[in-house]
Amino acid sequence: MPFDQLTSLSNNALLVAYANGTKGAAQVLTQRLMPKVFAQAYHMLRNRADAEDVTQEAFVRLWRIAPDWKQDQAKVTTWLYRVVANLCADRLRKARTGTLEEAPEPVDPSPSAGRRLQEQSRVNALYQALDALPERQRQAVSMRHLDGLANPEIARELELSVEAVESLISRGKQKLKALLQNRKTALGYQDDTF
Amino acid sequence: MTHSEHTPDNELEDLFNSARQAVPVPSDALYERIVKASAQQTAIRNQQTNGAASTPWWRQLWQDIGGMPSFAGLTAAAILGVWIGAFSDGVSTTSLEFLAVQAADETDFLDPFLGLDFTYLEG
Repeated sequence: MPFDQLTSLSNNALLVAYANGTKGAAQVLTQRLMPKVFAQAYHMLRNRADAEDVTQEAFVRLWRIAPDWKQDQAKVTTWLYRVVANLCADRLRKARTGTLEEAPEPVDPSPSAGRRLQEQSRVNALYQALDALPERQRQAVSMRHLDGLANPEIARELELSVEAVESLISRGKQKLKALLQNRKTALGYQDDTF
Repeated sequence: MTHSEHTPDNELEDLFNSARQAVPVPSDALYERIVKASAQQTAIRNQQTNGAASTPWWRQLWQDIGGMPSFAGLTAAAILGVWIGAFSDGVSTTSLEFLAVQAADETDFLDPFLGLDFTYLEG
């Protein structure tokens, strides 16, 4: 099948095509989904090397289950999201018990490093505030605002109603604002808004 | 990045934006590794499929019933059975006789109609 025809296929159809031996299907699927999978892993682990490991592992599992994939059963993105979340949770558990090696993030050598440092400290402040939220609130807010999931998708992942998800996100954001109020300087905001 | 009007909601949205943009671009090496893994999985699958298809039915049956260990056990049991059947004349059957006597005793002892005559006599 020509490459441009493959790009018009859905994720599920591409996975089935890969399982049936269609050349190029895995490449198209990887190009399409890898950035999102990696971003999700990075938001959870905040470490490039670990996020890459998790991304690779998630795709290896996807290739492995491809022959048994039913087109109408589940969405590839939903399946991957769940696998990545579980893999990251495992890694974070290991990190908490001290078995995971800490790898320092490489320093950015670009000319705008100062500005990027400021951005990085803002992001770190957000991450710290997110970590201070109750588990469910943190998950819901992260899924919505970092991973870009829609509320019904979050509801499915967390096995809650859409209304409950909306409430979790709303309360989570209120708490985030309160937590970030004390970090205005680090965030680069000088007035009293937070 | 430019910060929008400083309302708490906007500022929070700014932060989420920053966090989304702070995600590094995944490396080309990662892409290569993932695609290579897909090819490896395909090769493994093909190998398994070809292996299964090239096995003749009688070999598959042989494997299904347990192969050589199973056949060896069956042969040993058959030889032992033949040997017992052919050469058991000199083998003592005392234990069997004992069991038979004991079984007869138990039958007497457990006779459920033992007191039936007395029942008739009593009317």
